[in-house]
Amino acid sequence: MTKFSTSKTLAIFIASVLLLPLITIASSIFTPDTQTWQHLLDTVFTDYVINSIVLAMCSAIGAILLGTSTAYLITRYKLPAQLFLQISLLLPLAMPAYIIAYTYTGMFEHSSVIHQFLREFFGQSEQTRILPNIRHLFGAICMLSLVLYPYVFILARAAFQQQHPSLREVSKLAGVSSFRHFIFVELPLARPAILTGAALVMMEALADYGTVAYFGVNTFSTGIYRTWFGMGNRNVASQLSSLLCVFVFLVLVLEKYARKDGRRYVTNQSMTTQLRSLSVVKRVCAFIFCLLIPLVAFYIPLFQLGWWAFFVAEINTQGFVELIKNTFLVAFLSASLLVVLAVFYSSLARQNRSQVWHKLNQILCLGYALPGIVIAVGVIVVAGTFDRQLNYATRYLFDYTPGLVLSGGVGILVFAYSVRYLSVALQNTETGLARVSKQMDEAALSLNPSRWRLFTGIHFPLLRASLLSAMLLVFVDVLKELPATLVLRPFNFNTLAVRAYELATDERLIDAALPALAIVLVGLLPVCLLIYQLQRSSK
Amino acid sequence: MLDIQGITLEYNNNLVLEVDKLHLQKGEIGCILGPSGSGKSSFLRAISGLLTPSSGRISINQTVVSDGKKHVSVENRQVGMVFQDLCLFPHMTVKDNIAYGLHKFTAQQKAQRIDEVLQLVGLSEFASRYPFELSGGQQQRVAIARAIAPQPQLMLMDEPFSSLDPELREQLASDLRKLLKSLNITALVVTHDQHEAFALADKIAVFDKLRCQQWDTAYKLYHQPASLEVASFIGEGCLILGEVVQNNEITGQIAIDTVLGRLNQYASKPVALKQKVSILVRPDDILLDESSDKTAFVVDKQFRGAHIMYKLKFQDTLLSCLTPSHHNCQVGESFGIKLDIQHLVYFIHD
Repeated sequence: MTKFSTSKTLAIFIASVLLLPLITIASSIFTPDTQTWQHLLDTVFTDYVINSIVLAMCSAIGAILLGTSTAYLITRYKLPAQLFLQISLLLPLAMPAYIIAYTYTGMFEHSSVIHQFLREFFGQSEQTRILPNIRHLFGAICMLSLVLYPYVFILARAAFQQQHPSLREVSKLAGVSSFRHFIFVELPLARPAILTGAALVMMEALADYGTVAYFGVNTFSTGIYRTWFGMGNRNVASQLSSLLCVFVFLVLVLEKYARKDGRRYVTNQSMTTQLRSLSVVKRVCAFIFCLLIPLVAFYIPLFQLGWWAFFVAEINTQGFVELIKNTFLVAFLSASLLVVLAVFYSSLARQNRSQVWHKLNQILCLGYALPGIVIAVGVIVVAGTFDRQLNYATRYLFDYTPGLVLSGGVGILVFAYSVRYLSVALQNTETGLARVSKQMDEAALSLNPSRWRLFTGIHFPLLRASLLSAMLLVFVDVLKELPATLVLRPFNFNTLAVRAYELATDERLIDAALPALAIVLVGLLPVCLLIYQLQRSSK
Repeated sequence: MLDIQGITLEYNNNLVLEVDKLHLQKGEIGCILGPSGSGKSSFLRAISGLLTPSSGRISINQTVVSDGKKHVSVENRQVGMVFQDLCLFPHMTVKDNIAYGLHKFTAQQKAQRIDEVLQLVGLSEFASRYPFELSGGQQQRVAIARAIAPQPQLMLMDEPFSSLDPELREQLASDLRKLLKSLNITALVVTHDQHEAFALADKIAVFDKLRCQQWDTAYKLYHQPASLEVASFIGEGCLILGEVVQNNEITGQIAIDTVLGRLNQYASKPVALKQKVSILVRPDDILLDESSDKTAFVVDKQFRGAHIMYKLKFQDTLLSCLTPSHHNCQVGESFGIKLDIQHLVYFIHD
C-alpha cells in the first residue's frame, strides 16, 4: 500500500510542477499594471486583438476551403494517381508555417530567380505588379492556410468516407440533385469533423509566432514577446498571455462541442463507397486542383529550400553539425522524459478506478493547446523565481550563490517542452493502453500479482509501437518549436528552428535554407507514420 | 403491378443474377429470400433503377421502366425504398427526414402528409426528435414513413429488420404487413430469414446460385420445392436415395424403393424406370412407430418445448424426426420409425 501512495504523491508533485507555469500566468491578472495597459490600449492592443482574431478566423476559413474540397474530391471521385494525391495532400503537415513564409518571401524577392526571369521577359516596369508582396496579414493567412489545411483534410476525409453510400441513393430515389445532396446531406454530416479541424487550425494560428513576427504583423504572440523583451514588463506579458489563453479556450470549447456533435452524426457504415467517374475535362481539373495545393504548400518550397541549401548557400559544416547536435539533444531528452511521464500517468489512470486521475491527465493535456510563447513566459517566471529563492537560501545557509541553476541551462527548455507536449505523448500511451483489455490485466495479475511484472511483461511489449510513435511525435514537435526555444534557450545555444529564424530575420534567407530543410525532412517522419496509419485503417 | 420478364444483372461482366418471371398484383406483398450474396439486393436496386439490368424487361403499373432500350430514371419510377441500414439522415429531425422526399409538395401539403404518415406509424409525438434519440424499432418506422410519404407505386425494402433485435422483428414484420395491407401498397421485401418471409409475404421468391429458383406461396415452397436449393433452404429435412421401380404412365403412379421401404405416389414430374432419385424427407414425414421393424439410433437431439427434434441414423442414412416431446429418448438409444410422406418430392439424378 505504501508503494502505491509514493507513486501517487510523485504524480501529484510532478503535475503541480508542470501546471505551475499555467497557474502563474493565470494569477498575473490579479496584479494589474494600469500605466502599461493604458499605453497598450492607446497604441497596439486593438491591433493585437483584431489581427489575432482575423488571422485565426481567416486561416480556418482558408483551411476549410482547401481541406474540405480536396477531401471531397478524393473520397468521391476516381482521380488519376489517387494514392499519390492522397499522400501529397498530407505532406504540408511537415512544413512549419514560418519556414514556408521565409521561402516564399525569398522566392518573391527582388533578386530572386523568378524576378530575374520576369524582368527579362516583361521588362523592368511590369514585374513588380505580378509578384505579390506577402509580408502582411493576408500573406500570413495564406501561409498558415496552406500548411494547416491538412488538419481539416484528414478529418473531413474520414467523415466523407464514413458516410453511408445508400444516403446518396435515398436522395436519388427522392429525385434530389447531387448538388442539393451535397449541400443538405454530405456537408452537414461532415460539419462536426470540419469544425474540429478548423478549431485545431485556429489554435495553431493563435500559437503562431514565427510567421507573424517575420511578416511584422502585430498579434498577441508577437505582442507578448515585445512586451517582455521590448518593454521589459513580464507582468503585462503574462496578462497578455492569459488573455490569449481566453481565446484559445473559446476555440477549445468549439472543438469539444464539434466532437460531441460529431458522435451523433455517425452513420453505421458497412459498405464501401464506390468512387464515381468524371468526364475527362472534369477529371483533369480535379486532378490539377488536388495537385496544385501540395505543389504550392510543399513541393515548390521544398525544392527551393533544397536548391538554396545545396547549390547557392555556403555551408558551414561545423556550425551545422553543432546545430543538429543541440537540437537532437534537447528533442531526445524531452521526448524520453515525456514518454516516461506519459507511461507513468496513463498507467496510474488505468490502475485507479477514481476518475480523478483521468481528469488530472486531461488537465495536463491543456498545455498543448497553449501557444509556445505563453508557456515560455510562464516557465521563465517560475524558473526565475525558483532560482532567486534558491540563491537567497544558499547564500543565507552556506554563503554561496549557485547562479541561474534552472533558467540558465538546457533544463528550462526541457521543462517548457514537457509542459507543452506531455499531451502528445499521453494521447499515444493512453490509446495504446486502451487497446490492452482490462481482463488481460486481471488474467496477468491472477498469475503473478506483481504490478511491475504486469508492466514489464505485458504492457510494455504491447505498448512498444505507441511508445515509439509518442517518442517520434514529441521529438519532431520539439524540433519545430520556435517561440519557446527562442525565449528560453541558454546563451550560445542554438537549435535548427531558432537558427533558421535568426538567419531569416537577418534577411539571410539563403543561409536559413539548410536548417529549414533539415526541419522539414525530419518533420516528414511523423507524416509518414500518419500516412501509414491512415492507409492501414482505410483498408 | 410489378412485372419482371427475364432480366439478367451483370457486374464487371460477371453474371450476378437471372430472373425469368416475377409478377406482383396491386396490393400484394412479395418477399425475396436467399442466402447472402445471392443477388437479392441487386435485384431490388435494378427495380428501383439504381442499377441497370443488362437485358430483360421491368414494368411497374403497366409502364415499362426498363428494357434493352429504355431506362426510366430513378426519380421517375415512383418507388419508395427502405435501406438495410435504414440510412436516416442523422442531422435531420424525424419530420425533416420525412419531408426530404416531399420537395414537390406545397408547404401545406407537406405538413399534412407528414402528420398522416407519422400517425400511420404511430410516431406523431416524435416528430421533432433526432434519429439518435429513438430506439431501433422507432428508427425503422421512421424509415418506412419516409419511404411511403411520397405515395410511391411500389415499396422496396432491403432487409428492413436486419438491424433489429430478433424478438422485435416478428412483431414489426406483422405490423408492417398490416400497414401495407391497410394502405393497399404493393411491396417487395428482401430478407434472408424465412420466418420473416412467411410472416410477411403473399408470395416468395427463393434466390440462390445466381438465379430465381422458385416464385410461389410459402406453402408450395415448403411442400413442393422446385429445386434442391429451395428444398434445402426452406424448412428442415434431409434427402434419401431411391430408385424408381414402377412407372405407370397412364395413371401417373410410380413406386420408389428406399432404405425405409417402398413409396407409392403420383409422379410430380416425369421420371423414367430405374431412375435414381433423391427424395426430400421432412422431419414430420418420419413418424414414431414402436411396432416397426426399422429401428434408428439417436445421434443427437434438440428439445424444442412441445417437440423434440431427433437426428437419427438408420443404416447409413441420416434422418431428422420431429416427435411430441413426451417421447423422450436418450442419445445412443433407438426406436422404431416409419416413413409417411404426404407430398412426394424427388429430384432426379443426372
